[in-house]
Amino acid sequence: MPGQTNPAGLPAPTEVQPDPQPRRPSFGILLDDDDLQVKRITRARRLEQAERLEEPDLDQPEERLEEGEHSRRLAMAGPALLSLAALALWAAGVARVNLREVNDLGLASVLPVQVLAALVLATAAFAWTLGQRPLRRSMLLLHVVTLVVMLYGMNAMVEPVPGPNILWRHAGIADHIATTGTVDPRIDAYFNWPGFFALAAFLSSAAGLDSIVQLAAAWVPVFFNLLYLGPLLLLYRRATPDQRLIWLAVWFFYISNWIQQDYLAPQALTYFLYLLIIGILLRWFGTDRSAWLAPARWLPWRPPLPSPATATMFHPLPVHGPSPRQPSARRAGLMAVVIALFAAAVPSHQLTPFAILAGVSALVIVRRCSARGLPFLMLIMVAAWMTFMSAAYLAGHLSILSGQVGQVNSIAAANVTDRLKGSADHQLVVQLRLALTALVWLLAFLGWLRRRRQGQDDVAFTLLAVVPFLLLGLQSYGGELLLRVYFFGLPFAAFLAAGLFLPVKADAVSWRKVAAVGLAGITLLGGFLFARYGNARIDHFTSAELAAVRHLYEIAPPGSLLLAATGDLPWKFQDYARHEYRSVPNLPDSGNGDLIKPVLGIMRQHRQPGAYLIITRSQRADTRARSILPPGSLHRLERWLRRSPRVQLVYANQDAQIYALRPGEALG
Amino acid sequence: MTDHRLAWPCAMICAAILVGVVAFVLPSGPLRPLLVVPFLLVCPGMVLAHRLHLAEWWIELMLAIGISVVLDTLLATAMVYAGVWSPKLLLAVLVWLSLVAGIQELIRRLAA
Repeated sequence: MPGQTNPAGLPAPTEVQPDPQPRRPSFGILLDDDDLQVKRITRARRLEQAERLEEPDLDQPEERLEEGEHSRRLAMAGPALLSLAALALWAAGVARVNLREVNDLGLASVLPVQVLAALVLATAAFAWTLGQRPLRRSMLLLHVVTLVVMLYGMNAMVEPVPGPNILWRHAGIADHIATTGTVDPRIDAYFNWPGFFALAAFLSSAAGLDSIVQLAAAWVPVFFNLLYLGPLLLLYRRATPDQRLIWLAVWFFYISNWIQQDYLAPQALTYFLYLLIIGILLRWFGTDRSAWLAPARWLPWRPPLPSPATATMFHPLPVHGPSPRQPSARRAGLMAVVIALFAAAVPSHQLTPFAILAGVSALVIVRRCSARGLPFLMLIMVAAWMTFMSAAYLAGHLSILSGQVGQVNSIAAANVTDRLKGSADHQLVVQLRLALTALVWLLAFLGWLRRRRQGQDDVAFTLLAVVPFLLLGLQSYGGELLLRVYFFGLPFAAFLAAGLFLPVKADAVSWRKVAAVGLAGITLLGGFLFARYGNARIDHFTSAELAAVRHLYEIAPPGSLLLAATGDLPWKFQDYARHEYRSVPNLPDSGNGDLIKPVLGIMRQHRQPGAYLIITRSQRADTRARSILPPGSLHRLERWLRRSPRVQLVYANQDAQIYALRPGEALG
Repeated sequence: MTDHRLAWPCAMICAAILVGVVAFVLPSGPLRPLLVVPFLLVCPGMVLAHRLHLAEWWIELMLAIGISVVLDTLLATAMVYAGVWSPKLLLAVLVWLSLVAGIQELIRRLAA
């Protein structure tokens, strides 16, 4: 009877009654599908377990009970305190970073020891939580959010002006749409895929901002990476019921995502759409036991369900847990959402629709997705956009685009060997990027092997990790395709890599495994700092550089030639179509180290209405680090500009100079 | 007593009214981007995502963001190609849609 006492004077344990209508959990994100499905029937059991954990053992002496209570409280609060301490340490550390001291190794060369200690602490806190029993997912969520802020908010904390230079260009395209309400497909490729820029123009205009850059552009990487968390959980929960593996995969994703495609860019947004589409398809349209039986409904006999021994790629085992039968209206709604997501990706980015198409097709081919007509619809949508909406661009660039199809060697060269140039430190950064990429893939392969030996069905994730490599057969994508291939495959590679450490579900994790996870995490984090922030010297801009560019826009009449030593400066954020933008490496006859003749020649050609040459700190860093111009040529050009009677310095500050033709030269 | 069933439609109605006032009545200020951008990234899609009756709120929120991005992107792009670019009009349409959906849902829940 409730309320009775036992001989020791303690109240008797009350009988636990299952709650007939349990309240919705306040932290639903912390519960997986299975938790929700079986929650009602296991609630009583959980309460019993919790009581058992909390119930004091009367045989233990009082001191030992208190000691146990202290350990339990430490275990509960320890990881959270460690995580918060890491965040505080990180904030104190990054506040001391002086970007002017950065060398070609990037941000890692100036990071104070507090930042490194903070990352080690965060890893330790995560690994500690991972080894705890019971597993507290709210704590894991706290660690992941802390990690994302620390890894992807670093730029926002240390840079006075957001970068990289492409961000400013994107802002300029959005500004063009916001001010003119039109797109001109002849200007460049961006105007043939203007979806993202139309969205940015709409958001900035509706918010009453002059430019999308004002919308906390420096914190956009944190925003996008937190946005990816939902689809990642959706994907991973479909692959395993093991929460430890799910959160470890999430952790691995974030410490391996060095690609830096999460700034204000179409790729960042369409990557979210990519993850969401694959997540929805695997979650609600994945093959399951009921789908397997469906064709047999009309047969007098039923084929046996596949077992681990008989399953093949085309006759798969059901993925984790039977997919509950969804009402047809919901399935129709979700399919409409998938089609709409893809419809938004098609006009927003050149590459992502092909990655989605490849991934969905692979899932359909191996029967991991029941939406068999979807790849055809997607193909039609992509083809229709390319035929009708981007025809102007494709007509002028068809030979460039089609000429590389199948040229895997030249594409690989453009993506790897062509990048291995520049200063010794920069080459080291490139090599570290390749090493980190190879390490993630090696861990993924070993994890795949280990899980396969344990009888885990990872066909869908394996395919999704590998299928992006098909894109390598298309074109080099400006030497960036290998990066994008890694990016598209990373969520699945991270899962398989996590599987190396936690191949099967277990109630507890040994401290050896926890230590291994921590060690792997710290190794990947070390590589991440160099790989992601290796271009910090090039990518960061000072307020003085931005002030010089703003001055340039004030003095340049419409139609002027704006010339830069390299394209690495914060320009094009306004007047995108009003001026002609050129950079010295793209000028003819500039390969022999003599920049004076081509620079003076093109400035004279454009003397009316005006021609301006801007040279900034970041361009000098870019030239030095990546060897974009012949050695010493920029220095010679600057020396000549200072002495020449033909040009004059019209603006200068500590980080930038602007030159124009003297009045006599300008008049011709 | 608080009725949790009414929380969602009330939140949607309040958000739509607030954004409408900030965007169309008050002069532009620092509050406007703080309200308008989250509204545009969540509320229009929430109207549709909520009708899918998904079990978990975070999946609903994630889909709401996805659908909002889709709606904003496709409508803005369509306006550009149609030569009728008007961010104010588009914002007004999305505010109105959210408001109507919120009121409709509130009535439905009160009647249930």
